[in-house]
Amino acid sequence: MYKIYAKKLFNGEEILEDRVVVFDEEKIFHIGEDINDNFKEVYNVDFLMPPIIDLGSGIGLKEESLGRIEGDDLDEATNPATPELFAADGVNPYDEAFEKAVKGGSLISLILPGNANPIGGHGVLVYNRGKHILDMTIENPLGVKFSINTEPKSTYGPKGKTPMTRMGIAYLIRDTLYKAKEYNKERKEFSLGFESLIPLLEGKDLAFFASFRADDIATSIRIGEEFGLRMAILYGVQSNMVKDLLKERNIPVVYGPIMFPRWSIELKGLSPKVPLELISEGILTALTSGHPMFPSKYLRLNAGLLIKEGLSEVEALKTITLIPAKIIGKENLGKIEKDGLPNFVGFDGAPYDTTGIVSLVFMKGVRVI
Amino acid sequence: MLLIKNARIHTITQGVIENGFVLIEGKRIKKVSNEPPEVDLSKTRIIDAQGKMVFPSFIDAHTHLGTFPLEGTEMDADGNEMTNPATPGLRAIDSINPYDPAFKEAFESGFEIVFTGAGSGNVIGGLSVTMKTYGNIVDEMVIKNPAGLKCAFGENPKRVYSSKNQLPTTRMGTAKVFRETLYKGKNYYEKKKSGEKVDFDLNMESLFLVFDHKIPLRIHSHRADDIVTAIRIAKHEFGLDVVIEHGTDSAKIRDFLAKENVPVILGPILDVSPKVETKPNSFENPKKLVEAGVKVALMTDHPVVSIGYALIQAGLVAYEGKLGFDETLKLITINPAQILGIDSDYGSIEEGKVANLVMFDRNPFSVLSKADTVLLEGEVIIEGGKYV
Repeated sequence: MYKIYAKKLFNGEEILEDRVVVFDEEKIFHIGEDINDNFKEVYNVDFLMPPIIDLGSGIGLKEESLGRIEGDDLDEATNPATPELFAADGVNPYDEAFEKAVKGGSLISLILPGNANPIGGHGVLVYNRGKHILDMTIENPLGVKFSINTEPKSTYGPKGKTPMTRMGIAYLIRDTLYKAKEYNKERKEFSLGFESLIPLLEGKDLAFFASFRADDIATSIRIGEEFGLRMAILYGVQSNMVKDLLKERNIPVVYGPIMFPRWSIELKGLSPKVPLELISEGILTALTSGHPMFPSKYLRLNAGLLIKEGLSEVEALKTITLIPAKIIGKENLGKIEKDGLPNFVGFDGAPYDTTGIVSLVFMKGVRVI
Repeated sequence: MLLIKNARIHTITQGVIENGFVLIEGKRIKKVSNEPPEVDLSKTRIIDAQGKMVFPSFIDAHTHLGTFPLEGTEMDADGNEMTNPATPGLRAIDSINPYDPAFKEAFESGFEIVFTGAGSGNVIGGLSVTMKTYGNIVDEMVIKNPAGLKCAFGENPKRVYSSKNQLPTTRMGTAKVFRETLYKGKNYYEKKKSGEKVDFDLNMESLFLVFDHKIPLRIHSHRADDIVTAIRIAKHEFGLDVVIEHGTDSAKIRDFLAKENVPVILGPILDVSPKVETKPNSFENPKKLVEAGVKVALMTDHPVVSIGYALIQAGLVAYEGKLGFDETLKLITINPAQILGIDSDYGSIEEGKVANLVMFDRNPFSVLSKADTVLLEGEVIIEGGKYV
């Protein structure tokens, strides 16, 4: 058994002062007042919190320091509708970015294919450390990636291939989903792509619509509704402009990356103020690094920018822990609770600030930092 | 006259003054002291800093503000004229769009001065500018123009010209373009200096400033061997002034750089390493270089790292990279001022320097901080977080 003494403990719901957490490799036994026992190790940290969860990352698919061919498996940009692809088949667990992410407290990623294809394929939920992909996997597949923004246009338009317009993007998604529905009725001839969409069509999986502009977010919602999909908006730069729609339909937003230069015109409006507006409407709002757009390692600092804009520490920290966990239906990953998973990140200083340094990481009950 | 009182003054060059006073007359700092200076109160505006920290304006010595847009389209990107690998005749001032929102973000975060200009698509990219981030007309915002000639080694020019199946497609090719252009320039320069008649060539004219040591070559290079090649050709073969840009693997050859007295403008660090040559990117590099005696400044390479987050990047250098608060401050004040050759006017809070001052009520390197007051040339532009 191990014991961590935390001056502050964020358990996913609230910040408590002067608590100890007692656990072994399997689970947490005690959270609360200090207790004395025969512990293998005792640790002290300023701030203890659940793992940071980064939804919608391309970590391991677009590797660091390898350039444009060798390390790039993010976009199979040869066919705009590729539901038959699985991120788990492209992730390189030896991408240095994983180790860096762990050093920044980002322990869990939902890795999704890139934005080039209107239907990109299936995601995989992983711990950012492991001997191989099976060792890392929490759930596979999880999430289907859709892309309604300019990237499919700029990928296929110059090739003279659909889609070169937003109408073309919507057409391709609709056409594929209708065909998958038909396929599910009689299954005449085996189709890997249509087969793989059945859990989504049956409400057992979650659609991630990558869209930035408010009109694209509205299109995502329109198409999602037509097929009765459970869905979340990824990036959602201008989602404050359609917050009523998001609120009415109860659609979560995975916002960001906030600390990203607004390179293209569809990033106009990107601001830490937007998530505050969504949160005040009661919309489930998580933050993403969009890795490799922004390093997953520093997702924590994006939460700090929400605090700078006036959000409470607790609400800001939830956007990178409990809320992403809730969005994918795995609340336990975003909490520190009795009988819960022994995953922790300990900091010297504030976890959301430059002055904070990760001092301790336990993953699945094993100390990795 | 303007008097700031009750301030924690980070002079940069002369330590920290608690409860200090800065007296400003016109554009310039008249006095910095820990005792109240004698002033005619009827003619002096007094700003009570209430213990806030005062810094000289921060300086980002390598950006592309106004040449690569925020919230723009590809039609607004004017940093790389990728039609010829050697274009010293280009002048970035002709591309800079001062209405780009990045200028406002820079100014509001305390970066009143930036070096900005050409990208790294060409081996020789063009003449670039040191300028203020506040203003309306680019010519009025200039501090020094031209301020340096942008050059690039390594992956970028190779990538650009490989796609056109044109030289350079190798590092040897890049060196050839660079060396050949300098030979031609030297020849042109020497002929013209000796009164010989030469056919006018705008590209060659630009190199005059380089051979006259009025501006340095600002050489983009990440890999240590590229840095050495840059120094070998520019400094050893042609005797020119060299500043290394990016220098991602410069820590590997830090003793050599210190001996050669070549400064490094390091970064961007708050970024995913996108290329093979950026692999050694780390927040621990600045400390290694500083300790070896290399003159170092930090860059955002805006828009690679958004200029609005330059202080966060610096904070990670200070804390994660363990360089410490005071040393890190130098990397965004006096060191870039010295490298840009503007340290007689900028980079520290000293008598006689231009009164570009920024005030913070908390650690400027914190994610939570925001510039409270910004003075440009003795004029209060932002006060209490709002434009006056």
